[in-house]
Amino acid sequence: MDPRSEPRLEADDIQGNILPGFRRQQQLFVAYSATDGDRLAQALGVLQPRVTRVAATLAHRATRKRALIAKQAPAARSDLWLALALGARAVTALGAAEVAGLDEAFPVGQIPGRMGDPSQQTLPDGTANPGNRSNWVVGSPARPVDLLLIFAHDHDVQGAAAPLLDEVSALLGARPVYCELGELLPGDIEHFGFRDGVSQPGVRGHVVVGGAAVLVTTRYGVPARDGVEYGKPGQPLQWPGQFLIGQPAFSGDAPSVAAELRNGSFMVFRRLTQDVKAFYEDSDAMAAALSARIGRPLSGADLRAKMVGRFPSGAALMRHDAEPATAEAQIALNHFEFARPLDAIQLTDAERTKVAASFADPDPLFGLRCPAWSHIRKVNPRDLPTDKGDPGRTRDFQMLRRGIPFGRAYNHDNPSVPDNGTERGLLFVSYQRSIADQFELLNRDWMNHFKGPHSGGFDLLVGQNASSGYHATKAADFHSPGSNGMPIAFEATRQWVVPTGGAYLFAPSLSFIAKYGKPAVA
Amino acid sequence: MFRYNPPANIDDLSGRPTRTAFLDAWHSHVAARFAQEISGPGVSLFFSETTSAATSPEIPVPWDAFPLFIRRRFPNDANKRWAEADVLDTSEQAGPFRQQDEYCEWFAYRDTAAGPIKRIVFTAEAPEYWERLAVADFERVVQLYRQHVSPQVQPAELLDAGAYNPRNKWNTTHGVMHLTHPANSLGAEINLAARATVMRMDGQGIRVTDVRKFACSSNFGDPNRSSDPNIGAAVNLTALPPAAGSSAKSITLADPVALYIDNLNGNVLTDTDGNPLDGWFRFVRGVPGRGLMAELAPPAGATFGLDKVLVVGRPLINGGQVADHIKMVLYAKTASLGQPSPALRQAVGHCCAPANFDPSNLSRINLGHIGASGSCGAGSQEAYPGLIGPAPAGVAAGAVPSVAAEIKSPSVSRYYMAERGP
Repeated sequence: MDPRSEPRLEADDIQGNILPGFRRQQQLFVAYSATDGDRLAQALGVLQPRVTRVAATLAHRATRKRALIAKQAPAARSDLWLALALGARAVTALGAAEVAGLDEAFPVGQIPGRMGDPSQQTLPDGTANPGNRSNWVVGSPARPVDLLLIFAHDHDVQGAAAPLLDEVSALLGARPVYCELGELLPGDIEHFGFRDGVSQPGVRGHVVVGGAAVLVTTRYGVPARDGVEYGKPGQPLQWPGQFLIGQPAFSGDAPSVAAELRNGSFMVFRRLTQDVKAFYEDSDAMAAALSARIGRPLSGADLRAKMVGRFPSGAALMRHDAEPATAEAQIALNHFEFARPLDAIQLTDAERTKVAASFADPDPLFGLRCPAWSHIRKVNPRDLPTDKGDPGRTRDFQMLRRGIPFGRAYNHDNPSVPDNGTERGLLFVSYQRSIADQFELLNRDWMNHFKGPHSGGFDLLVGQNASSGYHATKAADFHSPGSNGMPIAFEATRQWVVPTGGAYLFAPSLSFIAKYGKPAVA
Repeated sequence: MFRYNPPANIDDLSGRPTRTAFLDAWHSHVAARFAQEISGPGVSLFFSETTSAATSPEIPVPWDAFPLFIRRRFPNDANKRWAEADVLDTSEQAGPFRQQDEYCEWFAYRDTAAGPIKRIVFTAEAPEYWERLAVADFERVVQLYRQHVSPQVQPAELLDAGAYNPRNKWNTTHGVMHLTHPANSLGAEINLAARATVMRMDGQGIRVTDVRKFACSSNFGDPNRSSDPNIGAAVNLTALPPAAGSSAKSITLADPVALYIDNLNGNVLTDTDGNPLDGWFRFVRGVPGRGLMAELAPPAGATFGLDKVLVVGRPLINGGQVADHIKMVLYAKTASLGQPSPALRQAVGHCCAPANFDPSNLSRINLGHIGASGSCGAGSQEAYPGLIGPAPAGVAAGAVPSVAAEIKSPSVSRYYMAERGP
C-alpha cells in the first residue's frame, strides 16, 4: 500500500519513545521537582536538541527487525537517547497552563480515588504503607515529578547521561529527587518470568524519513475482520489521535489545537514493585488448593499462566494448550480472539510466515481456556462484549506501553542469595491521548474490579482491591470444563505488584520544547 | 412451586392485607411476559423457571450506568454530557422522560433551583412494578413516594385520569422513584434476553457474533447503548458459544428478575483532603449487587455537604458524574434442556451510519436501527454492509420468517449525527 494514504506524522516533532518506543538495553529514569519557570525553560533549552525523535527510533526498529530475521542479536549502540515529560506544575510554570485542560486526570494526579491505590498511609501494624503515594519512592505529594527524563543506552546509560544531567541540575538549581536504572531482562521477560510487551496497538500514519514515506506500523497482509485492519496479527490499527494530541482520532477528524500542543501525548509513569517470591509461593499454594477442589492436577505454572493469559514464552492460552516446545514466532503470538476462532493465515513478510489458527473459548463469558480474570483479557478483551460497550470501544482504550524492568532478576535456583532480597519491578510507562479515558479506565474499572469488563474476578496479577484503604484479598472464580458453570471461588491474599511511585505527565512535542525552552543564562 | 419474586425480593407490602394478592399478580405478570417472549419466532433457547429449573449458578452481566449514546455525542466534554443527561425528553403519548437509557436513572435534589445539591438518588426500579403496586395498594405507593422523594407528595399528583401515572412530576421534574425512559422496563429486559438467543446470520450465511453487529441484526434493544448490545451478546454467546463442538444451552433470567445497580466503584468519592467517604453512597432499596435505589447524601453526623465532595478528584456537580462510576448488572442462568443448536436466522434489522463514514470510527457513532426491509435514507449508508441479504441457497424456508412477524416493538433508537456533538 502507499504509505501516503495514511496521515502524515511529523517525524521530527514527535518524541521517539512515543513512536515506536525505546528498545534499548538500559533506561535511566530521572525526576526533578522544580517549579521555577525560568529555570525549567533553560533546562528545556539545553535538552531540546538531545530529545530523540521518531526518525531515530524507527531506524533502530528497522535494524532490529533485520537482525531478528537473520536470527542475530541487534548490535549494541553507543548513542544516548532521551525522552522527557512535564508535570502539571511544570507546564503551568512554563506558561502553558492550557495543557491541563486537555485531559481530566493530568492536573489531578494519581490520587487513590482515581487509581485504586491504598489510601491509608500506614499499615495496621503502624508501619508505612508502601503502596500509599505519601510513601512513594517517586511522585509522592512531598516530592512531585515536575520533569521526568528517560535516557536510553545499550551498555552505560548512567555514564553517558551524567554530563547532561549535571548541566540540567545546575540549571534547575536542584539535584534529581529520583534516579533509577532499568534494564531489559534476558528473553524480554518481566520479573515474574513472562514475556512482556507482546501486544501493542498499531498506529495509522506515515513519516517521511530521508525523503521516503514509511508506515509507522508495518502491514503483513493480515485480513481485515469486521472492518478492522491490522498490522501484525492481533495488532489493530488505530488512528494516531488515540495517542497524540491534535492528530485525527478517526477518518475525517481535524482536531484544532495550538501548534505547539500537537504531537504531544500524556504519559502515565508507574513504578511497580514486584514480589517475585510471594508470587511463586502463593500461586503454587493456590494451585495446590485448587487441584484438590477441582479434582484434577493444576500446577503452579498452570495457574500462573492463567493469571497472565499466556505461557512464559508469550504463547497465548487461546493458541496453545501448553507451553510450546518450540517458541512460536513473535509475530504469531497475538493471532487470537476469545469468543471466536481465527483461521490460519499466511503473512506477506519476507519469510512468508504461516500463522496457525487459534481456538475459541468454549465458555466465552467465564473463560474456560483463558479465564475472565487473566491479565491480558482484563485489559484487552478483544472481541468480547464488555460493560463499556462493543469491541470498538475496547480498541479505543488501548495505550502505547513502554517501560522497562528495574532491579536484579530473581534467582530461583538459589533463593537465599542476598540479591533476592533487593527490590525489583517494572518502570511502567504508557502514552495515550487521554489518561482518564484510557489508562484509568483499564486500571480502575477493569483490572481493579471483580465485574469489569466481565464478572469473574480481579486481575490477580496486577489489579488492586484497596477500597478499604489497604490492599485486601482479590477474589476470582475458577471455572473448569464439565462444571456446568459452577465456579470455585478462590483468592490471592497478598499483593504481588505494589505501586511505589508514579506520576501523570505531559510528553511534549519538539515544537513545544522549542517554544518554551530558552537559552541558558550563564 | 417456582414463583417470580419482586425485584431484589423487596417486600413493600409486608404486614399489609394487599400483600398476597400483589405477589400473585406480580408473579403472573412476569410469568406471562416470559411466556410471550418464549413464543416469539426462533426463540428456542429461552425458558422460564415456571417450566424448567435452571441448573447453573447466576451469570452476572455488567454494564455502565452512564448513557453511552450521550457519551458518544460529547466525547471530549464531560460537563456537557453530564448536563445533557439531565435534560428531559418527551413523548406525545406519555409525557416527559429521562434520556438516561441504560436502565439507571437519577435525580439531583436541591432546596432551590440554584442551590447546592443536597442528595442524588439513583434508581433501577421498573415502572411495571410501581404500576402494579399502585393497583394493589395505592396508599402504600404514596407512602413510599413521601419517604423517598418528598413528604410533600399529594396522592392526586401521582394519578392521571384516575390511574397511576409513572411520569408524574415527582418522578420526573421534581424527583425520581423509578425508571421513566420508554425502553427502561422489565419487559424490555425479558424481551432482550429472549430475542438474543436467536442466532443471526449475515447475507452470506455466516453467524453474526460481533457485539454491535449482532444488536443491529436483531430486534432487541438499542445498538447504541452499552447495556443492550452487551447483554444481547453475552446471552447469545452463552446460549451457543462459537467454539467448535459447542452444544446449545437454554438460558433464562434469574429470579428475582430485574435490572440492578451493582455498586459504585470503590474510593471514587473523597473529601477535599482526599479521604475516602464511606457511607455516603448507600442503598435505600435493595442491596449491593441487587440495588434498586441508591442515594448519595451526607450520612448522619457529617460536617459538610455534597458541595465539598470530590468525585475522582473533581468537585461534584452532577449526578451523571457519579453515574460514570456506577456499574449495573443483571443475572442470567442456564440449563441443558436438550434443545438442539438452533438454525441461523436471517437478520431482521440493520443499522445506518452517516454517509462516507469510516468503519474504523464505528464505535464512536450512534447508529440508526431499522427493520430489515427498511433502507438507510439520504445522507446515510449501511453500517455493516452485507448484513442484510437474500437467504443463502439451501436455507430452509421456515428459517426465514417474515420481517413483519419479527419486528414487534422497535427500539427507541435515535440517530445522532455529528452535528449534535460538541
